[in-house]
Amino acid sequence: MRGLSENEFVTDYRRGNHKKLLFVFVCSVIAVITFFVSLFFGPSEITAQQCIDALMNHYGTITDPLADMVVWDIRIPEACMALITGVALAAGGAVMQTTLRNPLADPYIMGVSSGAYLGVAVFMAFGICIIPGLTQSYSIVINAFVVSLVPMTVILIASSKGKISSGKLILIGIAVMYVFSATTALIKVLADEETLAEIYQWGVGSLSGQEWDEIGIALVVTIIGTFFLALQARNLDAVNGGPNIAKAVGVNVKFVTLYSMTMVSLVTAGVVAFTGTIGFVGLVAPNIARMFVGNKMKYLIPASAAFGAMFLIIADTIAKVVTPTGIPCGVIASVVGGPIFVMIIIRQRKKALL
Amino acid sequence: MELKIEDLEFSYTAETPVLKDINLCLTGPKFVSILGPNGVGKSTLIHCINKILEPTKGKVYIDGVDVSTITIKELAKIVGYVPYSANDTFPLSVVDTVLMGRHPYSSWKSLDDDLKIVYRTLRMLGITHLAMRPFNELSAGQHQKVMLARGLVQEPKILLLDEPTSNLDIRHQIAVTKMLKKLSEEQEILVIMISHDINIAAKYADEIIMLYGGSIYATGTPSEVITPENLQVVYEVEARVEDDHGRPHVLLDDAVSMDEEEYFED
Repeated sequence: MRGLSENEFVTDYRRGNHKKLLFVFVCSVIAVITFFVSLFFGPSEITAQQCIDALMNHYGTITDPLADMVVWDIRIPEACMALITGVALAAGGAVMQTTLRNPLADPYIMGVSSGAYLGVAVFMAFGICIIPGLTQSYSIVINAFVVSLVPMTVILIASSKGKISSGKLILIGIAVMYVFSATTALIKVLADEETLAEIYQWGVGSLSGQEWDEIGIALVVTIIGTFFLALQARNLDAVNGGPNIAKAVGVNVKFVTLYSMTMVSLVTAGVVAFTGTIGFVGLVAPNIARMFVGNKMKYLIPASAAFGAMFLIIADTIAKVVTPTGIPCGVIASVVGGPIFVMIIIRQRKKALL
Repeated sequence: MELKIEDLEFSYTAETPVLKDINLCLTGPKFVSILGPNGVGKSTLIHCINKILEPTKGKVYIDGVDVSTITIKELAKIVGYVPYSANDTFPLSVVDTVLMGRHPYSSWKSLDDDLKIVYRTLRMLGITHLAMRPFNELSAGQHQKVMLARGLVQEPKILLLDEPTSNLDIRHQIAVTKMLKKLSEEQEILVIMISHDINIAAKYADEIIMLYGGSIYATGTPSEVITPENLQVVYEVEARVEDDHGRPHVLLDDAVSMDEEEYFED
């Protein structure tokens, strides 16, 4: 490194960044491949050949309506939801960690997901939406988003009160999560049996049973939210340096924090509204991505998103292969991902891998 | 350039101001050292200059411009800042850490130019070999240089440093202080540094500001400010001051006796 010329230095730096983009690319490719593999598995008994035919013939003449229904109305929506959810929760987790400067922060642990889910339960049980007169899918998302802002506000107020340790902040997040989960449980107790079944089915962290219009809403919300988060990448790097540094290099810390956390709430609500609370991916994906691409947000946000999508679609596929009846993929994600995560943390050297 | 502070006051709570009646006018380029005991408000003062803190009363002017009327992004192009320690939760590489200092100038297209400025600054500080290393793997002295580089790539007219030498051994303390003195001359910057080592400050500073009880107790050249009388009041130490090539040199004799109550008031 000693004796580099100015131009070599610039090239060198850029080469390092290309490696980081490679990580994003590889994760994305694996995610897409797994997406197609996942279409061959599921509870319905159709053969691989039927699957391929259904895929090919959908926009021509449908020869096998059953297979077409299974592939296009059950399996593809589920796989899409896996990718979208992975992107949303992982990007949200990455930004939340950096903004709160805490590697343990993620939408699930900090209660944002359970806040969003309470919003869903309120609509399911009482039919109440903050903005009345919308269709069910929209009402659920709006409710999820608005209620998820409550735990987010609590966390922001707590973290702005002087020097709060990162441990305490997580404790506050967990307490908030319990309050919202318990409130949801209370609504479940009060609800009649039919509603209860509906709420439960909605919220076990399952990717299955998605309607196309729900996928559309989740997709749009996730793309918009992640895009607006990515716009803050440079500012978030400064916030990561601490409030004094951030201000000294000209970053409006309060604005960046409020903006980012609102966007995290939005992307979280956008998926939680349709899948229920899914833990782990928001915590694990960014932390694994950090080991590969480092902590610069310009690379970390896409890397987390790509890894999160890959992680969830693989977990969902494994879930379907192991048990055709369909374990919620959140369960598999934790069972498989947990030990891998622990192993990586223990083996990790300080340095980023790439 | 000119830094002017008028009737500045800062308080966290209404009863006890941390700083009061601060009036100051510095015209650069020069190397200024702020001295004073713990908790006297040295950091608070420099934080009020670059708007990390909002003064409760009074104004700060840079070249006649009231800093409260400009955005922190504009201010970041004029005033650079080097903290006493870094506490990045998620460390970046050295290049990326320094590159952060280019933030006030940033646009999407400027990366190559920014990188060249970063490179030149790293070369000036002799740390290009650290460029791609993660910030958290460096030694304390290397940390200081990286943070100094970040302050410098802001291309400031005024550079504020909060005890940049506090974690360093003596050799690095001298080296960094000497470098700052040189920077003030070569880059024509008004360098304002909080310092704990009176002798190193006395040896290199053009001007010394001595804070006591939240106000300026004395200001002037090292010889004017560093006197046994001032040291006794401000630092509560018995000391002799000798002449060392035209600069004062402090020889410490004893601490002024203190009972516990007084100690905890500090």
